[in-house]
Amino acid sequence: MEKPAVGIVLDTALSRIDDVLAMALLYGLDGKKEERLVSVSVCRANLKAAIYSDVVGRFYAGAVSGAIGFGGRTLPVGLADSGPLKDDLPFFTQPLTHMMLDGKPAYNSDIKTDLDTAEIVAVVRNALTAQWDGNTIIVVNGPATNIARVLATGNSKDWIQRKVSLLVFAGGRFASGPADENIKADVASARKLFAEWPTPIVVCGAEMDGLVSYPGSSIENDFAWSTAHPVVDAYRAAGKMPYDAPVWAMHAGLYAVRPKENYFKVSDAGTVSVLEDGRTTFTPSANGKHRHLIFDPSQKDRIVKTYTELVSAKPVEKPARLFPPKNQQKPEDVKKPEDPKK
Amino acid sequence: MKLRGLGLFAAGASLMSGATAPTFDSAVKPILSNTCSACHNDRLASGGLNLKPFQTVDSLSNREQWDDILQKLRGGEMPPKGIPRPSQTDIDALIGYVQGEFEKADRAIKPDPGRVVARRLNRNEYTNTIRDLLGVTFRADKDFPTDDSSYGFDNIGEALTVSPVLIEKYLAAAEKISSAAIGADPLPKPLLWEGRRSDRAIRRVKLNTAETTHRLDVGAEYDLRIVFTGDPPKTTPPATFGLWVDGNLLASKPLSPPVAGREQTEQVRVYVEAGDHVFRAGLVGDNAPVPPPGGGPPDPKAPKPLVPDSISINGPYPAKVERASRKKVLICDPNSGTACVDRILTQLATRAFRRPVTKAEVAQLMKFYQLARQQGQNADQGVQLALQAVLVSPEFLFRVEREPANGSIKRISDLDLASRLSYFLWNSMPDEHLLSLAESNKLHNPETLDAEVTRMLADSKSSALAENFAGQWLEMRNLDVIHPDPQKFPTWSPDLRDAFKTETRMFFEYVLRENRPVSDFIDAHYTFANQLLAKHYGIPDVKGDEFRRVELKGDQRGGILSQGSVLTVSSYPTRTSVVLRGKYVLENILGTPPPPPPPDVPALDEAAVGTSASLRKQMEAHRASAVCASCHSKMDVLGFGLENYDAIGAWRTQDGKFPVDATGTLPNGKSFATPAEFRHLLLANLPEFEHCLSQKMLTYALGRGLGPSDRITVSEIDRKVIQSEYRFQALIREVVRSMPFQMQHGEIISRQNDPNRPKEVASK
Amino acid sequence: MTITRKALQRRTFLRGMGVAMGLPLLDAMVPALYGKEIETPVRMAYVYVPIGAIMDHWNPSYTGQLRELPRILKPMEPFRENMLLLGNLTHNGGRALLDGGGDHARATGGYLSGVQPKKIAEDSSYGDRNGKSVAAIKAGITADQIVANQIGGKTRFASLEVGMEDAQQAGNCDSGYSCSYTNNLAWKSDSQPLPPTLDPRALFERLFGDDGDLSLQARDRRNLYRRSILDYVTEDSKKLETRLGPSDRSKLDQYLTSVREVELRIQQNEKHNQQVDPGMEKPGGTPGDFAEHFKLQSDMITIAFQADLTRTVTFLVGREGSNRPYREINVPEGHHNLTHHRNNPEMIEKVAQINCYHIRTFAAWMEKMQSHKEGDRTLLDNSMICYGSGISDGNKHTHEDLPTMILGSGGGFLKTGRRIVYRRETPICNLYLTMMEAMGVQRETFGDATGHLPELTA
Repeated sequence: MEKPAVGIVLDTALSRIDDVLAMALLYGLDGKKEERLVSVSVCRANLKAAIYSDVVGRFYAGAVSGAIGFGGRTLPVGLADSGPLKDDLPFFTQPLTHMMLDGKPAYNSDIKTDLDTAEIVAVVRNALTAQWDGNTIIVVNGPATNIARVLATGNSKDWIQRKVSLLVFAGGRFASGPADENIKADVASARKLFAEWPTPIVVCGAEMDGLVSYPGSSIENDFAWSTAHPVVDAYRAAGKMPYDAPVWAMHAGLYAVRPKENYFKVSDAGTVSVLEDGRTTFTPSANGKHRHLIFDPSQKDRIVKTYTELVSAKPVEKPARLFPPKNQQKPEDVKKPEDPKK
Repeated sequence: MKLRGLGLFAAGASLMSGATAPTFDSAVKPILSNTCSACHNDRLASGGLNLKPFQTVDSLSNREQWDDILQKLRGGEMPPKGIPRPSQTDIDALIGYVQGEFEKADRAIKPDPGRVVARRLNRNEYTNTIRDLLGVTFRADKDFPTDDSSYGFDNIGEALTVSPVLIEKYLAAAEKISSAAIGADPLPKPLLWEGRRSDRAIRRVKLNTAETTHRLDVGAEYDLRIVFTGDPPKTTPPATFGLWVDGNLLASKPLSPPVAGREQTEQVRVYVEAGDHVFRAGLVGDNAPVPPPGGGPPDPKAPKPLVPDSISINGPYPAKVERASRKKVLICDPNSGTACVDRILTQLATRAFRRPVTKAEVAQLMKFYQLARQQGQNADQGVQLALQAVLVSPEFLFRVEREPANGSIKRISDLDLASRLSYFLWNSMPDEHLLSLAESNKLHNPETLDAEVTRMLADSKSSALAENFAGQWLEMRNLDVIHPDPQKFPTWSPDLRDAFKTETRMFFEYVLRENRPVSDFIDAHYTFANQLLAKHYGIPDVKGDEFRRVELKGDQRGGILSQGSVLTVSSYPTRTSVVLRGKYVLENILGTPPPPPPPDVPALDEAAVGTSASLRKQMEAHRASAVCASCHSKMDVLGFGLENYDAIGAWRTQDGKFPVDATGTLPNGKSFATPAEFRHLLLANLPEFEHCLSQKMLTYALGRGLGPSDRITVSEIDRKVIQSEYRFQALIREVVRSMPFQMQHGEIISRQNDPNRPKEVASK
Repeated sequence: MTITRKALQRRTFLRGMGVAMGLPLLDAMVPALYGKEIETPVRMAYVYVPIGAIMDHWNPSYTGQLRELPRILKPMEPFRENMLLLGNLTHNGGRALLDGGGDHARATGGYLSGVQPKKIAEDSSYGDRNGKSVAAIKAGITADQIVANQIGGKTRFASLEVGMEDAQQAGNCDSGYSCSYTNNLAWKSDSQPLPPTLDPRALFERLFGDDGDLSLQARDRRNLYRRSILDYVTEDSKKLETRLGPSDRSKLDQYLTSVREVELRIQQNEKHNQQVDPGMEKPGGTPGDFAEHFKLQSDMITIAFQADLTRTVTFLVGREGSNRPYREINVPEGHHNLTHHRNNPEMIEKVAQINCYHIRTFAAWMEKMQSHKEGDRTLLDNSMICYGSGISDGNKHTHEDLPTMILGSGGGFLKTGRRIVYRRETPICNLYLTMMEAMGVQRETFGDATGHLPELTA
């Protein structure tokens, strides 16, 4: 059996619209079979955030690849049970209220209470158990709260070491300035992450934020094909249209999947340390396990193009497990994608 | 290990001969890119298979995946219905080319015998070894925990584990067995056990016959007393009373004349071994079925049939004849002094450990003799205790082979070869002749080895191959754990089940002993039956309980696939299943097990067969979807070939409301309309059946699963067997001659614990 | 119908008891067995039923205080106050992950160890090129054995393995997995399964001895002989080991460790050389009827608990993937074949009937456990009987939201009477950790546990 595309474990805070765009980006890349999004978890102790992530997952359901069961079943959304981030934010609450003309909700989710979400350590670990050794990358767009939990559990370092090749973290700041939000929100976890995480870490520092943005025009023009799109709804809810959105979180996702395509420069090896107040320092050292991304102005347009293309890409109708392509079968043969609950 | 060799339903490499040497790009690439890639591309990857990486010749290194691909092509399962097919010639060309490349590759692999781990005796081996070592009957299968099987057999070293429970059992068994063998202990006081029909402690099995199951703790003589009620049949001479233990008639005599009232008692004294036994009492030659309960108002004047009302067993009482086991063990009188005891123990240990023993080892055993004496027991009991120790020793319980040093590949010692041979062919220890050949280091000489195989196959002990190899290969053993629904199948009975077993066992033994071609398994004009079975099969003129060879006229039956045993174990309790039977044929006959069905697939509703649509209709609906077709197009058709037999193997032309439709068309276009035609189609795949059989036989003989490096061995065996016109014994000989059977790949031995290994053990 | 001298007395004596569940005078006997020890021990049992359940008829719609129980669990109504019904517990090792088919083998094979059992690679028992052999079977040490290793020394049997359904005799057990995984529930190590005792008579003789007729002196002599034989074979195998490669040696180690455990047991027997009078007749053999067989096995487990012969039991009620028909309740079709119901209502109904039949039989056992007083508590109170399966939906082979029910509070350790649903993906090993704690075994982690189960304890 040939090695499958790299598995992506996404842990996100959903505290800014670019977290949603990053999610859409990763589903887009999954649809292109460049990676397989094998688990999504939210490090915001907020049920609606989990429901929204579930909605997006189901919207792209055809493209979700995180099979853990013989029936091709996928894993539920993981949710932090505690942590600094709790509040509702309109961009993930409003899409949930989107009604179609027939009065039915535009999107569905089977998450009713937080019991319908997954225990965080278990879901990340269970996702990893289904991956080939060294064939998983973890993308963290938010405080290290969840990842620190995983790190703190039993013999987790062993299986992380075995299954994970790289962790990409959007946080820290490798230029003058205050501590960035993702670290400040949970300094202790961030310190644990950089001190103990067993695999290499690539950091996308806050200094990368704001240098490129996602064009609001894309939202206006590129989504004509969809009647209701949870990412579009979120985008509209996040600010007064038309506006251009930040893309910081997307950088982490893009680098994780296409590290060799020089969208960004990468620093030499070194070690990131987190100070008490949450500010970060980077000390180069030959055997350091950490690197950080460096913005490359020459890539600006290419990056924007890539982002708009991937985010506005249609979900790939992946034929249900084992079935031949649509054009060769009667409609009743098309099996709806597995309901992750059952 | 995947199938190779001639194609399943298509001629393989042979077709290529003469053609200009094909290349990957000429023979493989076109089909892959034009046909397969429609579904198996990196976007759809139907069935989880993306053929993109298989577009180059290097991909042939991915043997596993390619074997799967070939299998699908051979069977004609791929490309599925609804997708344009390349010409069969092109497909054969592809198969032929890839096959050729693989055979080249295999020839390149450096031959390697692999290794077999120390093997614990499994339950049957233990039973038989005790029988041959001591002449004592001990049913380990009734006493020891189940042996877990792997690769379809229960003699796989890796899976034969040891647990505390098992050790307890070994200890207790050693006590029972040695005391049964020597009989030095006083018999326990006689006890009376009585089973009455009224307590449902005995069950009526025929008109005048009833039986009960009872366990005896010691082998000895017992008084059996049977009380009949009812009127004895008015026959002259008077009907004969019979007593059977485990199906063997132990005593029979004319029925004693009726006494006053309606009771009538028979009493006999018989010798019975320790263990669970079925005691059956009744009239000899009674074949009338038990009348159904409450059949109309009983006519008071009508004679009531004579039926055993109670069976009582009273004993144990000392046996008059000296038991064979004593003679076997006590080669001299232990009371004559320790010199004799020493001789006894030396002989005992040599045979039990299947190798010569050292003075030191015998001295160890001597200590037990002395211990017993110190405890004030007699010489016999001393020997008995030493024997107990022998039976718990790892040297007896395990077949440990001398390890070739540091990972080298070495021929195994003649002594180890002797054990491999006897446990393969006899499922038991080597006899004196075999052992002496090994001790004198002659056994490995090819002629000698061959002569031994001949001798051992001729010996009745080789019926162990039928019991254990065939019992597992054909899944006959499952007859004991499946329960056909008596409502749906009123003719089902324990006797019928036993008849099924006997038929297949005798059939297998016949093919073995008569060295018939293995094609007899697929189709033969004979079988073995008694009256009961013949009646079940609708074969006339077979009278009586004893089995005999029966010529099969007409084409309803022939070969194992028409035998009740196979047809029953491949059915559900309430009905037949073309899927189960198709799977059975693929796994056990053609050696191409289908992948497990994905759970929760929209499968056909087999349960509704005979009630709603006909099975045929549903199967077709089912296969409309290409995914189901990918396995079922082959599997189900094979099952349909057997639809004329119901779930307990009786011939039928009607299934529920619908006439049986036993026609089918194999993926390669060949079709059949009757089981007979189906069998002929299977015969066309004899090479495949033979290959399947050699794989299973080699697995069973080695006690380990087969690996890539065994491919050459198996194809070598196949070649030789085919040369000798598929003779069954040729298969067994070739397995014995094969490298893995005669050699062992050693492990690196690190001697961290006690380096001072005793010299005498080192030099056997 | 047996009229051995002994049995005759038993009969009359049982009649005298008015068949008081046939367990007379046993608590009077417990202290007798263990001299000073007065604290009543906590006992633990894992009861495994095959192929999950029809979850729609198992899961209540509510959480918290147990109210009316769903259809399958109806027979448990009398025990509402004594039970916990747990939701969303997961056996990740049962899933395919990277190994394809074989959900039944994985369901039992890793149920109590939280590992994914090893599928036999086609060449696994061949070993690699250097002749280094690769294990053909590999699972993990099970929760019950962790406890047995810790507290097993206190009782005659460190642990007791009980089963009912005889193994399939031939063919593959599940998609190329060794039958070791479906035949055994308890594993002493990752390569050493502990086979359950299926035959009630064998179980009886194991628990209460087959030497009832032996004089005390004869029994002592037998123990002396057995011990000296075990010494001899230990010596013997140590010699043998030195000439073996690693894989052969591991085989022999299984033999040695087992021998050692039996030696301990014999010492235990001698320490308190006291015959336990089970107050029940020695069973004649294996009944064909499920309920009858279950009754015999569970009665003996109950006695073993009462007499403190063991505190740790695993009970494999049926083999995973079993195709046993249940004619006694008019279900002649095979169980497994029915569970692939593909949403056919009649088939679903029949599976539900089988599930319910299992529960009815189980409830009858629990009644006995409860009928027996231990001080101010009952035997049930002082136990934790965990009833469940490694599969939830047999049609889809799912291993999440496993049917899991605990009877008894482990001597007041657990807060019973509730339905608790946990976050999804919560490993069932978390439950085992908490149960270990109740047994006095403190552990940080076990199997794939991510921690103890919250809200469970009183």
